[in-house]
Amino acid sequence: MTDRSTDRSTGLSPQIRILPGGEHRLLAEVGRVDPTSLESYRKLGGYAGLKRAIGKLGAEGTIDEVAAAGLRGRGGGGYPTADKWRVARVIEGERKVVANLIGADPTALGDRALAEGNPHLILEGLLVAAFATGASEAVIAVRRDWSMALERLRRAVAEADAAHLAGYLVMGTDFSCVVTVQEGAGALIAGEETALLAALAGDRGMPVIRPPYPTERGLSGAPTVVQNGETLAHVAWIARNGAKKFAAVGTKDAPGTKLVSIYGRVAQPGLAEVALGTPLSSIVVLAGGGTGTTKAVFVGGPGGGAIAADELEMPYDFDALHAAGAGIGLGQFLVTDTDTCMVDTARFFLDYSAREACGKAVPCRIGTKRLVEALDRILAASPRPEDPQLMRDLARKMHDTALCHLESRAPGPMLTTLDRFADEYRAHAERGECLAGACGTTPVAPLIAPVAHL
Amino acid sequence: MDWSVVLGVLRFLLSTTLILLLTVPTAFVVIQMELKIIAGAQLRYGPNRIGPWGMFQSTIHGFKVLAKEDHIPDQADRATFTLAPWMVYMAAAMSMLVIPFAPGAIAADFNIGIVYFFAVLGLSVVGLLVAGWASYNKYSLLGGLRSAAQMVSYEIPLTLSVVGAVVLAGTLNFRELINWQLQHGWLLVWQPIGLGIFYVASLAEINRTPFDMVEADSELVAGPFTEYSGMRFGFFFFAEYVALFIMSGIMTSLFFGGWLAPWPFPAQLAGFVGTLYGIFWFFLKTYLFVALAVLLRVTLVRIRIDQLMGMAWKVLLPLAMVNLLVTAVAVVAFKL
Amino acid sequence: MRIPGFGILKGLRQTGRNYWAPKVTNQYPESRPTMPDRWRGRLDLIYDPFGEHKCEVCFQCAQVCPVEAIDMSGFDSTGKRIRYGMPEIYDERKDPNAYRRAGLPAAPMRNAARWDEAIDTPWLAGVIDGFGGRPEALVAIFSAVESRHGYLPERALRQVSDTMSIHWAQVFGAAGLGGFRLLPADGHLVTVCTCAACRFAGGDALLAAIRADLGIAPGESTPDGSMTLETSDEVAAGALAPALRIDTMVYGPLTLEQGRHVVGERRKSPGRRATKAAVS
Repeated sequence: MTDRSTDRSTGLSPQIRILPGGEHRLLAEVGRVDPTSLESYRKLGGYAGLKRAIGKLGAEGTIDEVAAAGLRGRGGGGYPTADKWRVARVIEGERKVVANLIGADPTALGDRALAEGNPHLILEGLLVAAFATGASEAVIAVRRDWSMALERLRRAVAEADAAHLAGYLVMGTDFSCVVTVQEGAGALIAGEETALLAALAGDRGMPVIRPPYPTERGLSGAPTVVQNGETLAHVAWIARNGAKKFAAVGTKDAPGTKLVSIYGRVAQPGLAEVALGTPLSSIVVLAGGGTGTTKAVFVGGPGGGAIAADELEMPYDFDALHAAGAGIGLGQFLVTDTDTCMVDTARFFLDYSAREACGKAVPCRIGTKRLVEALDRILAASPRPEDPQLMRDLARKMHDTALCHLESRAPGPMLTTLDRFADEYRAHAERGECLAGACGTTPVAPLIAPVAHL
Repeated sequence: MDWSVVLGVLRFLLSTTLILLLTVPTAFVVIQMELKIIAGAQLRYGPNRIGPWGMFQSTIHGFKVLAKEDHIPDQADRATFTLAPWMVYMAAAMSMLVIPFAPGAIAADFNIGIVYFFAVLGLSVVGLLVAGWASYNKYSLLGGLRSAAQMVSYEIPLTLSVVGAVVLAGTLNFRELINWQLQHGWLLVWQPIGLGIFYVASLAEINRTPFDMVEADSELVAGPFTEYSGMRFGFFFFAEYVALFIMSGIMTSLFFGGWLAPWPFPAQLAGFVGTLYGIFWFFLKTYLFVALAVLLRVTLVRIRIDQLMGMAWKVLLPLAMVNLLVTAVAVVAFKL
Repeated sequence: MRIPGFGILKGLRQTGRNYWAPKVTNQYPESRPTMPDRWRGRLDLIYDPFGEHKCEVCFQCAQVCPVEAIDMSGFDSTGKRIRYGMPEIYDERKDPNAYRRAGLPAAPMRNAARWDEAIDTPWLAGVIDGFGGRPEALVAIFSAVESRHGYLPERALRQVSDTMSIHWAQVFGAAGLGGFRLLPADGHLVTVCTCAACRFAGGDALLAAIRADLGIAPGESTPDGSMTLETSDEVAAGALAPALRIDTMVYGPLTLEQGRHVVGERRKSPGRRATKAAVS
């Protein structure tokens, strides 16, 4: 039991435990660098990347460098970062860069660890991105209850401003970029880039239809590049160490590393950094291995899917996971053991999506609720005959008519468990029996838990 | 003073009044049948609120039109506009005079009843034409012209189809025609082609679907009735349904033995009881044909005006001629 | 061989059969259909949690409705009705937005006494000024208000809307969707985390134990007003799972015993009272 405000060993919030092992790149300096001091960061080679980008590579060169590194967005979509920048760069307007540190899923700890442990790394990546895209304004959107991250990022920005690393005439060149730190309201949907931009403008945090993409019309109508905090940290790392070094680990299509939050039935839940392409089983080992017999791993949180234990040699990589019905998400990695009911877990994720739905798109707002109801009927052993078909149809329709990726991927946990653990569904539906022996002890929570504040 | 003349006049006045009074309930019954049968064929219940089984729905409709505003367009020719519904209605009512309901129940037992019938029936086309012209409305006028074209065209095969039966029976009197059928069997057997032509032509003559080109709603709004409202429209409406009843009745008399039962007429049922017995069979058969016409209306779609006219001149007229020729030859050859 | 008229006979057979077939008409007043559970026979305007119509009579929906199915009435700034309609159905409101629509400066709320919330108006005005009145700062302003009052009082939201000239709907929506509290909580606010990490580390059992201890369900307050229990995915417990939050402090990882102990200890200290005049 703790009510410590910081972890003394790393200077991070106690929620974040950094696991040893893996391929530490972004996390290498966390705990070694003083997050409140620019000096400390510079001593460890900080802002060399920004200097190299501005002084040596130039804007086009920086984009080429990022393209050569093969960096893909770490926010879940896996869209090549350099392509995004190129699109934004050719569009006229007061270009903007936004760092997405909303932390949509509270179980994903990567962005928070970076913001608290090494805020200057994110800031440097943001400035490199702003330089490469020619943006004159940059916003760091931080989840409002990450008070320490907010405070440290604000301090970092102030320090960088004072040292002429940000703000007007960076490093004595004609490149100017005004950086502001803005609080963002926390909700799953606020992590979606168009919803984030709407929320930053003071509107309801709801996604808007694309196209136009934010790279064409984003914040206040200007072309806006929205990048995940972790992606920006990778940008800073590439700028400092070069593309070749970046691509040294990872797969050919997805080089580099990824921050992974491992939790569930593992000995040591926490945050790890692994090279993309690492087998899933090795990631479980990083967290001390499963506490029971591992049954499945839910990769990608509410928008991901289940990977069964016998498939765990699968590489942790965008395309492989996508082909398996899961996704990389924000690096969530839920390990379940044989005592976990897959139907109940699928229901949990869907219920989460239903509660967090912003309500703009009908297929999402109503579809998720209907899916939860169908799963509830299965859990209560009173399914309707059309339920299996309903679940498949609804999932496909939600995917086809989705406004945002949270919606299109919301049925993922259900579909993957339906494919891989159909016997559990059948046992629940036909006999009211839980093959994992878990249900019945855990009461099923109401569809929408009473929300006191609304 | 010749009392028989006075009695004849009195009898004529009485029967005419009775016939005129009969038209109104007849129209109600036919309309009610139309409502119920169309509803049934469309898997609905139809009117079932007013009266037992909803049987007074059409009556209420009839009284409703009395309460409606009677509007005459400014540019209309008031005299003819007012006259037209009356003409149409009277044509229908007058042709009812010769309908043989039962032995002893014929309002006017003319020896040329059939000729009288077709002559009077032809009057209604004048009424429709006048209505169309007097309304000062292009839809009305077109509808009136169409009605003239259609009804005049179809009157020819209609009349010719009956001539065969007349030649066969050798009489123009309805009562004698029915008696002939009592002895020789129904004309249905003798004149099947004549019957077919008569049925099709009669539907066209009284503007029933599928030949209701006169009031083809999609093209002509309501044809000659477009500008009519209130009870004036009610007269047209009633006349249409009375005509349906009359045509069915005439077909019954000409081809289906009129008041005759399908089996030999019981001899003991003479006098008043015999009249009632005849009335029963006449109305049964007549309303069966009314029902058939309604069923046709709900089954078939309206055909085009050119198909309609083409059928009259190219199909029905030659067919009626051939029928007449064959009948005449047969009568001469077999001395029927 | 095609026989002329055979098609007509076929049609007649169909309609004739239909005549005798069972009918499909519903005899409405006598036999009433049983409606599905989610049947909403009546179109109605949505109410916000304060019992006010959310509709602001802004006509935006009426303007975009392609079939012009929407019309409404309301009062303009002079008290004149701006559309015909029954006031009983279409709520009549004279709120600041009506003034704003009319291009007039927003007048203060007329029925301020309706809410028994006391807010620190000059302080809030200062906060709004401090952020320069930019709509982008809404979340920051909300955060400040929440940390001072424990929730977002409606009067504060109204003041934000009035001062910053932002539509009430936008202010309310941003606050609601942003996950802010809009109603006061009695006493200490105990939030049990229900995120995936906590759930698989035993969060359900922790919630059950605390429910049993306090004797209330999530969303309720204890009768003595010392504790309010709720659940949230947003505690962000991470490695502390299973965790709970009391007011702003996160505790974890907790065994059941520890959880009950923490809640019991905090219950002894006085919490924020959600009653009238918390702040003058």
